[in-house]
Amino acid sequence: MKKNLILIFILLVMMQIGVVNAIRISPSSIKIDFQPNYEETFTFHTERAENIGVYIEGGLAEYVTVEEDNIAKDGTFIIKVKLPAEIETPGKNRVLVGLIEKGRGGGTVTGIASIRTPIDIKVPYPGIYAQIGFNVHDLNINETANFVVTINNLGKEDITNAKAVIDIFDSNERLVEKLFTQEKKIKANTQENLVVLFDPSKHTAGQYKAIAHVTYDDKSKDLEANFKIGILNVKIINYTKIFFKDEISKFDIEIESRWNSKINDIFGEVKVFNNTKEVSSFKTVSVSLEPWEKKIISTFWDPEGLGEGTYNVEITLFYEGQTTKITEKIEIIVLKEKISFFKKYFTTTNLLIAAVLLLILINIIILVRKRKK
Amino acid sequence: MNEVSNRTIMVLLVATIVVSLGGTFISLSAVNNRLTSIGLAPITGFATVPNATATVTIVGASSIFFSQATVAFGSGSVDTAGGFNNCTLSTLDQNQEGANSGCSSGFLEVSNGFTIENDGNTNLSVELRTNQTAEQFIGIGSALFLWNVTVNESGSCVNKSGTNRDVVEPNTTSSDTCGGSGPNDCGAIFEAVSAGATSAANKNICPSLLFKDTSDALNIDINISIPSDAPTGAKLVGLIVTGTTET
Repeated sequence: MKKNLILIFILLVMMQIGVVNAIRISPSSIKIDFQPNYEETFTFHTERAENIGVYIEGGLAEYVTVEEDNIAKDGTFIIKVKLPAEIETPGKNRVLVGLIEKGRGGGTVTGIASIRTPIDIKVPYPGIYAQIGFNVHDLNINETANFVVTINNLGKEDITNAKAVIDIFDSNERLVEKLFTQEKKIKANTQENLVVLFDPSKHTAGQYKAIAHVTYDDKSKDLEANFKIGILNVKIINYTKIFFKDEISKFDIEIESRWNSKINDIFGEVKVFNNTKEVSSFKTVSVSLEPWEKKIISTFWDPEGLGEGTYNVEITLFYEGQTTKITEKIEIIVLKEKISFFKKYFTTTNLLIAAVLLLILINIIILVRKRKK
Repeated sequence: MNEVSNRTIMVLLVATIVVSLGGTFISLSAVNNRLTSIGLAPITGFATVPNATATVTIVGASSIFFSQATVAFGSGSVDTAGGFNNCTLSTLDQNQEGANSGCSSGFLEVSNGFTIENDGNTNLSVELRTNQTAEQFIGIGSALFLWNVTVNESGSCVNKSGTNRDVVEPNTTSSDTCGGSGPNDCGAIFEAVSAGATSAANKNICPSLLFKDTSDALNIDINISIPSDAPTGAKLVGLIVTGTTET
């Protein structure tokens, strides 16, 4: 009994000792703008541990060295970056400083964690070189928004005059407006935004396309972006059209928001008419729509007392003090008797065919056995 | 059988409580040290080129964590007496019966594979490799060694930054829509491992593993097929997971 208790005690002790299998590194990212013969040291931090190794990899690994490894002492290590006078490959050059667990074991398959910090060295392109972005946003007809052209000068030379002309086209590809940005000078290795305000109140709601013609010194680039001008309106796209006599059925209404903001508390009211006489009415639950969202709102309808035939239906949506209404038709039909699986497949003909095939099989088996004897 | 005295039981109880409290204190101290190392320690940058005016940007802390770090199948053999030519050990019980297929009862049933978490404060691009091929691991060319990567928490893996941040299923999303940095990003259900001694063999399994607490974990399940003519002996292999800060 004492031995059992000691064993339990040992097991309990083992359970209290947490095993942490995390590997951390800080900083998580370093970005350097290249300068010839640049030198700098960086102190990295991780867990104080005996079993963590440092490694360097990447195309410029030869210019990065481990100056001091004090991980076992205080969880730090020092990296030295010493760049050459020139790096041939322009753009982003990456070196990775990594940590990896060493000497782990204890299973058929052992997980070994490794974590890396990228050192990204941005090398300028020869001459004039720019990375250009164009941002537009959906907006409502009663709002204004900035259209922004971002120019990142990655070249060795300054850009003396950067500007953009933005053409706005409607869904029929008609040019409806031209916008002009200011002209800017962009120093090497810096980024500037060319901004222009867009006011949609002169246009109608719908889908639009913006094309930015960007010119900088003797170079140019065109970028395209789509956006929508929204209006406070919820469209009814579809609805259930067929119902069964004397059966409670689901009534779905598919709706779509044309507004660039959330619309809350949208509900529908349905009225059914036999010619001009209202014979039934019911409401749906309330829902909300995110900007431009499509959704189906559902309710159940019992066409009690209504016969087969075509009926007029009026569907009205209520939201934010506004309404959307459509008048269409629905049909009530008689539900056909459900044929059971058994009745469908176990017909007299099928049973006879099965019996014949079975008899043939039995005969073949008897024949084969006789031949064997 | 000798009865244990009340005094002995009391001593054991007190010892257990002391170890519990001591372990808690040690863990909290370790957490504090980590927070200090991440947030409070100075970073030195001593430029030795006086005219250098390079801009340096330094960001945050990255961390990757194995919440489940070993898989041990124990000792066993191929159940040749049962008519099997292969023994398949898997951490993902695909047949829902909880039994290793074609294996002797000596092997343990392992129902959980590896789980890795991003417990830093940056998103990570996650790569995976093993340090041995199936042949090197088991000792015979007809052996199979496969992995299957899935998300442990919904939405943990997304495509690469700069694109629409769509959710990615590491083992089913096609490479075209995975949005990683190369054509081999994202994998397939139980695909052959990528093996090598260096990170050149790394396979990207998740373009961006988020650091959000409720969506920051991946599962890695493994499947090993051992032919009946595999050499005997202890079989050990390492599964190396590498997280790199997403920039």
